[in-house]
Amino acid sequence: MAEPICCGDYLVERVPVEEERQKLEIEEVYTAQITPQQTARALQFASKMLPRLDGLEHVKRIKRETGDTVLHVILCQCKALDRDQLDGRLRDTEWADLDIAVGRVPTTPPYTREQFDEWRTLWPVAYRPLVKLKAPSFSDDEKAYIQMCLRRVEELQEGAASGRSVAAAIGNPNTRQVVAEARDATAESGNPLRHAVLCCISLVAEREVAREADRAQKRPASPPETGGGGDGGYLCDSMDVFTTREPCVMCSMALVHSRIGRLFFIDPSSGGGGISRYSMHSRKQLNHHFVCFQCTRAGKRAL
Amino acid sequence: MSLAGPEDGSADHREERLRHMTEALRMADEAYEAAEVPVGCVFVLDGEVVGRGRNETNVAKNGTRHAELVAIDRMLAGGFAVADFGRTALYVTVEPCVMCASALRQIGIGEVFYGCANDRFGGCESVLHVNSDADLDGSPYPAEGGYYRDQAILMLRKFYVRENATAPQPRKKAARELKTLDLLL
Repeated sequence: MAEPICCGDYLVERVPVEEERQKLEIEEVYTAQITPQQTARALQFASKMLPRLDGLEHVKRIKRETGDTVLHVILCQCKALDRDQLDGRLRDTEWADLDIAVGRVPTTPPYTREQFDEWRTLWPVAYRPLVKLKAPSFSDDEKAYIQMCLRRVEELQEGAASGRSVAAAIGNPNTRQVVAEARDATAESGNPLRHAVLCCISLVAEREVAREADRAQKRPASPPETGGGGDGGYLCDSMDVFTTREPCVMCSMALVHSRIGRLFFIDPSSGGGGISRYSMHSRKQLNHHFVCFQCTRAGKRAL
Repeated sequence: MSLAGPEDGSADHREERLRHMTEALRMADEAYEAAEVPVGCVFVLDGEVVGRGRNETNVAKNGTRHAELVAIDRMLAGGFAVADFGRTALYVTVEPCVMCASALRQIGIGEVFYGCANDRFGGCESVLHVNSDADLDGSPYPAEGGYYRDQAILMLRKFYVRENATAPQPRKKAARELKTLDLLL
């Protein structure tokens, strides 16, 4: 895991994505012992006469145990042929007397060094770190902006009268300005869904609707505040969201729908957090992902 | 076999549910006419429709203004008591997304009936099971799809063969055709 980045008072740490949290899954393959001299012919036979390996691009075809004079070659996946079918394909070939065994290989590629070290004890695998898992780096200006926004939501939270005191803000990473901020309004509105994040998203949207109305009436338009993605302010495209508490499942999915770029939260949620429970920032089935950071007050951690 | 809904409960129940789903489809049609993603819903308490909503994401420039959230906000603003959601059923044309599925837990909805599954965002079966997950806050609720499924799908397809000019990168869809042969209408 990458080292946390120090942004003034805060330590900012990227939350792992789904791939980094994956556990080892195993599938079975038929393997055969061959001599090094037989390698080319064995692979040629497998490619012509046996089902192709499906989804195992990360698995090396041949394993050599240290000090061993024989090699273990993967013939095909057990899910592709049963043992009788395999024997049938080998019968009357030069491979009829092969010593066949069932081997275990990782189903998915390793994405982290730790996974690689675990996966390869099973069978040799290739390791290609994902580009998106590269350690993030912030410029000094960006660090100051992140600190400013985190302080802002903490101050806003402390000013809350009562109830669930959660505060959120939306920042524009290009102008490094806060464009919307809100406190949880569930108590005052009597609406259990008026969470701080949803309120912020509404503020951005309402301002955008008003701006469009101004444009339509040819009034001088107020300057665009949204649209970090540079395409004229569609939703919260590429914006940063700062919040004192990890968003719930509803709010996390609202951030996906709003296509934000980055989420910075301070306290983890107990029980209903969209990031900790479902990795909502990085679920493969969803059409949008964002980078997520958990932020700790530097002083707090040292205590 | 019924072409309209699952074979569960009494025929009376199914009739009643389909009648409510017809109202939800009417809301979806209203969304379609307003150039919104055609999803609509009604909330039903003691056999009466007590809330209605349809997608308003484009007009509100807010990707969270889904039919369910629109209806809930209006109901609460109009004096509907949060405590009454527990006795209320939601009828929605498309499986609630993960966001709405969580919102429904948080307001304590009684039960949910929907038309078609939502393969991209669905929170009651397709992507996650937010409605029944034991490890989440809020109250779990039963959710069942298959009520006028094909009608709900047809509406979505009609919408998606049109161009969505407000999408970040609008695609040209002139070559698209409306496919209906697989639907039983």
